[in-house]
Amino acid sequence: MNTEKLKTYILCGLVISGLILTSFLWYGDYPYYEDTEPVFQEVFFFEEPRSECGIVTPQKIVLPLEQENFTVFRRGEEGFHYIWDSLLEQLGRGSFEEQPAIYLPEEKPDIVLYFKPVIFPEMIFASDERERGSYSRGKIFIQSDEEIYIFFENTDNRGLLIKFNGESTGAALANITAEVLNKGYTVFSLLKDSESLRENGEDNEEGEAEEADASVGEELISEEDSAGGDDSEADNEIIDYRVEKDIYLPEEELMVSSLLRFDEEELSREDLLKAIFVDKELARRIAEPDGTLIFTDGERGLRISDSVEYTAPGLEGGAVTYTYRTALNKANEYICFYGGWADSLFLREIDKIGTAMGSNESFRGIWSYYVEGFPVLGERGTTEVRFNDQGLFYYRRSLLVPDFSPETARVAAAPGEEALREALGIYRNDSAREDGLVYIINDLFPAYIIDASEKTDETDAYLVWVVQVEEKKIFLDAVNLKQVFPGDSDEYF
Amino acid sequence: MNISKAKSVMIIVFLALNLFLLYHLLEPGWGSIEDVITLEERQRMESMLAENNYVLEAEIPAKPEKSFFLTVTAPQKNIEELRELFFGDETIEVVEAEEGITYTSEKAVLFIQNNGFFSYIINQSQLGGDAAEAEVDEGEALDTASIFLQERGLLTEDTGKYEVRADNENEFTVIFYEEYEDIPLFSGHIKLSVKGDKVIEARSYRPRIVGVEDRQEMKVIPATAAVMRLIEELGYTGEEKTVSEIAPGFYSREYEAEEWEVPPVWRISIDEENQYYINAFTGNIENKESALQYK
Repeated sequence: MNTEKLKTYILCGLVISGLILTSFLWYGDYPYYEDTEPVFQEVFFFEEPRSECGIVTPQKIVLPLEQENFTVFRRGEEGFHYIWDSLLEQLGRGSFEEQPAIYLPEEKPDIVLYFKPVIFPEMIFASDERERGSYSRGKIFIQSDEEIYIFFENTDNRGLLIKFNGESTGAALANITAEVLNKGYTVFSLLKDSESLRENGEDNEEGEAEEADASVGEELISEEDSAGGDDSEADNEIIDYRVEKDIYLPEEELMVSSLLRFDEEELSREDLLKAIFVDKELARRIAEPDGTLIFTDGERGLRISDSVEYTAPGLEGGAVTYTYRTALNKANEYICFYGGWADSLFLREIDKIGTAMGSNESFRGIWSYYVEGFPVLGERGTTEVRFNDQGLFYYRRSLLVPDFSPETARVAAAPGEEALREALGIYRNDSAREDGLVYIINDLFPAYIIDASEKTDETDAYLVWVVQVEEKKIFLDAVNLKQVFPGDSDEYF
Repeated sequence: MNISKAKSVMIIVFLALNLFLLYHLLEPGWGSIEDVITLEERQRMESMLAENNYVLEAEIPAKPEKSFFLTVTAPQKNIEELRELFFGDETIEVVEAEEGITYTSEKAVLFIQNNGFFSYIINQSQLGGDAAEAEVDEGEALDTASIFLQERGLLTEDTGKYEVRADNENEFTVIFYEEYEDIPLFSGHIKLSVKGDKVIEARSYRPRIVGVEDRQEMKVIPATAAVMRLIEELGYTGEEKTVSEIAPGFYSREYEAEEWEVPPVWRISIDEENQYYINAFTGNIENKESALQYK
């Protein structure tokens, strides 16, 4: 090739490349910030939400016995789960139909279920989508091997009667309850009003009113029964009370673990960050002097110490249009997504809180562990969520997991009746009300509490009697009945 | 000129043109701001500003395009050292409270907060009349402030960027910011009020800069996006306002913590008074509840 031809080719090449480069400059887009493909982070959550029938469990299952006696199975007790799981399994098969209340059996029920939070029957009946309202109690009547009646009732006297037919349903339930009873049980009786006790005492010429019940509100109290000290005079006075709900107290001595120890739940910090922050790389870290770590992206914060606490202040102050049932499902989602829902953790209550005008409303759900039938209460021992239509804005998860087989010494708890008497005396003294009034007893139950005032490396809980006299909750050491002050707000008890 | 020579010349010219075009393509930062932030982005921002009655007077920075979280620790709280620096052998009264310690002398008050913040305020009645009335300009005010800090060893090597603002006649505010790799830490600063040729007040909050720990660089939002995010939050303004400054830096609020990470921000000043810090990663306004005012 001669030189001139080469020059021509080179020149043409340069002209073409010049045109191409010019077109790049002319039409090309120079976003200074790289136009990269958006990075979609995989949505992470700890576990799938439970099915609806796993959200609400009875607070207690009562099997009526002879002569106004009962046996009670509470959350966390082996018999409780056996009965409840078997019942759910049976109700998952067969057919049911609503019945007029006149068909309600007259005999006493075979099984009584107490629900708190309330239950929606459609949550436990498979293939039932019709909304039938919420109920706080369910009575099961075993009519035959195949047929049972379930009467759901509420404190406002609403009732729903369901006739259920399933292959061997009745027989299966009868066998299960018999099996549980054969393993041994504690006899309970219902706490009666002071007036009923006095009437029973007058009717019974031989004075055979139960000694434990008779000690309460009765004028003649032996000195041995009195709690002693400064309250001895108060103990001898009559303090009338009325019981607003079914409260079952054991006839026998209640043997309990003197102390409950805790382990720390192992929750991956990285997983928590992934679950809570869309992009965890955008969350900045703050290390406090006590070892607490805080992660925040400016809109949400996650605080990790001996508990996990999540806040999203920007979502507070909203309204709530969810139904109660939807709120139950939402609470289920939140706890499952952000940490998981352990089998031994139970939803203890879920309430709508806030102003009546619609702004600043929210739902609050509280979970507790149950050990041998007794809940672990107090802020440090509970898990809580708060949410509204805008989403979850507060989540506090206790990382304290109780030892479910405590090996500490067993001690005898004071009878519930004595705890009631003590609490009434305290309430009357504190409230300085007139003599002769009738006090309303709203609740009485044993529970473990973690003392909020003691934050040591070893976390212990001890058993107390929780006595709710009218709106006030009084806490008494379960062994010596001394009043204790847990230090947390009442909402955690 | 014959064809052959013409071809040679054309080859040289086009070769030079190609090299020029190639260089321009590979080094976009060499161009004007219109080359680095797209016209569309700028137009969107200007349109939004106009709709909300804002006027842009600030330059739009092209960089940075990536940044990182800056790790800092709580400010050192050398109480005795500060007392010595400001009072020397003067007789002072000491008051200890829950939030900090206060030293008071005839001439001044020094308050040292538990989180490391301190303020030093001169008793102005002790100032000589001549000092307060001396006519000074911004440069002289800066010199006065610098000397004040140098004499007390408070002008450290990581103190860089400064700002001087006239408050009233003969009164200036001088702010020195801490810096990391020439980028200011807006939440780490010492602010001095200068009256005449005297420093009458010094307020300091200076976390210790650790650096970048175990964090990768990440893309930041462009300054235009930060401006739009701010205007979206502030909304329409009845009286026309000016976007007077857009500057990159780091900022976080104070924490009662041992160590924390500070995000990169775009600092946007409105009317040279109110300053807002827009998180350069997320677009959130870091000081949503309060704007730093110099007045």
